Parts: sequence; structure tokens; C-alpha cells
Amino acid sequence: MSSRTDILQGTLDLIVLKLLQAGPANGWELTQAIQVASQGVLSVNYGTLYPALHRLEARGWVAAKWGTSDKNRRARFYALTAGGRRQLAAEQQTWERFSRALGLILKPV
Amino acid sequence: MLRALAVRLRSLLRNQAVEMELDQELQYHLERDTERLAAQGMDPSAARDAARRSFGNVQVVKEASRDARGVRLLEHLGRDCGAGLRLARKHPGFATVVVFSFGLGLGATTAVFNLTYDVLLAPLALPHPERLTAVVRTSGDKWDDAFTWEEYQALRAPPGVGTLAAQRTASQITIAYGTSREYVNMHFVDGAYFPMLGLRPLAGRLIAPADDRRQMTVAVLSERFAHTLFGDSSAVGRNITIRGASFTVIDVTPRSFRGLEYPGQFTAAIPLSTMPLLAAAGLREDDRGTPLDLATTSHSPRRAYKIVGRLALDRPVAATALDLTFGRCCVRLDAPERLTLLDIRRGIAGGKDDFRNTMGAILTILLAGMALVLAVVCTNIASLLLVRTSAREREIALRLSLGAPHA
Repeated sequence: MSSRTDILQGTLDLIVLKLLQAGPANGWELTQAIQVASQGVLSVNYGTLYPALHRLEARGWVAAKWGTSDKNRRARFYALTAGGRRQLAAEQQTWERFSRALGLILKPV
Repeated sequence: MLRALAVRLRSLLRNQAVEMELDQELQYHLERDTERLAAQGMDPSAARDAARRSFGNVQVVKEASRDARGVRLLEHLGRDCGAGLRLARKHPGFATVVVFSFGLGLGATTAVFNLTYDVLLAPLALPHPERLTAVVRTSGDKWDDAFTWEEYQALRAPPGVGTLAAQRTASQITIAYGTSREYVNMHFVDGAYFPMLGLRPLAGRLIAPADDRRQMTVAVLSERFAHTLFGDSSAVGRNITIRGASFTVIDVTPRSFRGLEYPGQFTAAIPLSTMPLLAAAGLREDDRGTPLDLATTSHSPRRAYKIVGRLALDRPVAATALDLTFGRCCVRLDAPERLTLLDIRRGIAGGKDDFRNTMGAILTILLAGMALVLAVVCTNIASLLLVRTSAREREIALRLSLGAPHA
């Protein structure tokens, strides 16, 4: 457990948007995808994922639709909208600028 | 943007459905987690428990999801109204006191404001009252709105500036119909007057330029006066006698029109050119008032005319004021006097019945007093509520512990 890190505040939106770029997914798939993609380092708290999804939806960055998952169960799938794609590009740029700056600061002297 | 709005609208209007979807969504998540744990070799019921444990408090997740939709403010408003109504029903005595004192405070303030508005603020009930103007000669703070006929002729506004009209009033003019006889304040108006006002005819037609030019014996009465005189509302076409001369009523003016003077008591108007007819008819023994000053012409050399007008809509006020100064050459002005356009959207001020100067201060103080009363009422109710709420501390604590959200 000590090897796991909580998701940095404010980056969950970016992570969700990025993962949805690959195609529509439901909430459960997103939690799994976050773990897999971060090689088990990041674990998302369910209690924050769903509010985040609903917030993104309310802002018009993702669109939700009911669909059938495997085993023929109804699940809510989220897909990136055009606005979401723009937001993703913007947030990604901001993040890259920030992490580059942080890298410069933390560089061993 | 549109989609975001749709999401919010839906969660407001179809709240039940949205809540159910949230339930299903979280349920699905739990099931998938249970399966994942079971696939790792966990006992099914133990897997379900573990999944539920890792999920944490479902209510908290739901609450946070609702918050994320951003319609909490409206939802809370609805719920607060509901709670308010329930409490009011529970304590009818207190509710009555609150409603009564609010009613008193609001009612008094509204009543005084209405009065203040009518007296000090209300514009004339004519189209575009802000474009109405009166020509005056000013000298310092003083102004005088009386002109001679020659001066009015000289002041004819150049094209595009707007229209000017002349009016002259005389009091105690006799109007007779059948056996009834009334003494009124008569408006003698030139042909431009009614078109300039922009009043719409109610039943017939208003005095037109041709009426004045051809000395037509036509009259326009106020609706109220017509009713007093005829006893019914069919005035158009009736013949009345004004100082011995016979006139035909061609229209009535609506009750909202009270003339351009403040406070205004428009009762009747006839063309300016018919004035000599009245004078020629002479005074009968039951006619009162002073004889009109000229028997032969309506165009008095005395300063007897008020010049009122309407600025053209596409013309800025300042430019119009400048254009009018061409009249300087023909209007006799004493040394410091200037010709100015007066804003008369609230009526021509300064008449002998104009009580606004004396009443204005009183009304303002009264209004401030009423506002103070309203503030006191609000403070009283707020402190009463505070006392009652502190008594409800235990109930509120219980509600919170049962899961009521912190608003």
C-alpha cells in the first residue's frame, strides 16, 4: 500500500479526459484503467471519481449515455465531447508546463 | 454550452430519474468490483462486503455527485421553501405575526413610494415623453415661458429639429350643453399641438392643422369632462356652446392625459384661430371671467403663448438647443436672457398649482421614514427568528445526525 499514491488534487479531470480520449468508458472501467495505466501507482477513490464525472458532464466536456457492458448489463458510458477535447488539450499543456517547471526546481544541484 | 445546460435542466426537472440513474451507476460499479474480488478467489459474500467497504459511504458519494451537477442552489431553495411552509403551519400564531408585520412594512413603503413616484417621478403619459420640450427664456435660475405670436412665428423650428406648437390658456370659459353649464380652463392650440403630442384619437379625430387654418369650430374634450357634461360616454359629434359660439366635439382625450402643465387639468381644447369667434360672441350675463383680450385676432401682441415641442427622434438634444438660437434675432431678450429648451417630460413646472417644490422634501422624508420602518421590521423579525432557532438547537442537531445536508 505504501507504494500507492493518491491522485494529486486537480489532476483527476485531466486523467479522466485523457483516458476517455481512447473511447467511451464507464466509471468502473475508468478506475481499472487508471490503475493499469499508472502501473498500479495511482488508485482513484470512487468517492471522487463519480462526482468528477458528473462535474465534467455538467460542464459539457463529457456526454453520458446508457449502454450495455459485457455480460449484457446496463452501464453508463462517458464519451469526450468536442469541448472536452479542447479542454483536454488546454489542461495537458498547462500540466506539462507545470511539471517541466517543477522538474527544473527539483533538479539536483 | 448547450449540452451543459441540458444536463443541469434535466437534473432539476427530472430529479427522480437522475437520482435513479446515479443509484444504478453506483450499483453497477459495486457489482463489477465484487466480481473482480471473487475472480481473485474470494468467497462471494466476503467479496461483496469488501467491495462495499472499499466503496465507503455511498450517501457521501451521491451527495458529492449531486453537488457536481451544480444545481444545488436551486434544489436547496425549493427545500428551504418547503421547510418554511411546514414550520409556518406548525406555528400559525408566529407566522401570522411575521406576515402581518412584513405586510405592514412593505405596504406602507409601497404606498408612500407610489405617491412619491406619481408626484415627483412619473413622466407624462405620452409617447416618448423625454423628447417633449418647452421653449423658455432663461436668466440665471429664473425662466419665463411666455412669448408673443410674432416670436413664435420667428421660432418655427428648421426642418429635422422637431415640431413646435403654441398653446394659450384662458380660465373660466363657459361651455354649455342643453341646460348644463360649466366653467373650464380652456386650451387654445394651434394645428401642430395634437400631432406634436402624439396622442392617439380615441373615438374620432383630434384637432389637425387644417382645423386651425380654416377656423373650424371643433373641440376636443377630456373624457372626464365629457362625461360630466353629457352624462354618458358618447361625446363625438355633439354640439356644445362655448361662450355663445357653437362647436362640434370631434374627440375625447384619455384620462391619463392631463395636459403639459403640472399638475395639469386638461379639460377642453379648441383651435387657436377660433378665439375671435368667442370674443365676438360676447359675454352673456351668466358668463364669468375676463373678456378675451382681442376681439379681432387670435394673434395677440402680448406674451400670451407657451411654445411647446417635440424633438425629432434622430436628433441629439444639445444640437437642437443650438439650432434654436437662430431665433435670437427675432425674440426680444433682455441683457442676460437666453433662449433654452426645457425638459418637460414630467410636465411644465412652476405653475401656480405646482406643489412639487414644497411637497418634494416632505415626500422624500416620508419615504426615508417608511424605509426605516421596513428596516426595523426586518430587524425585529430576524431577532425573533434567531431566538426561536436557538431554542431549536436540539432538533437541528438531531436532523444533522440523521443525515440532513449542511446547506
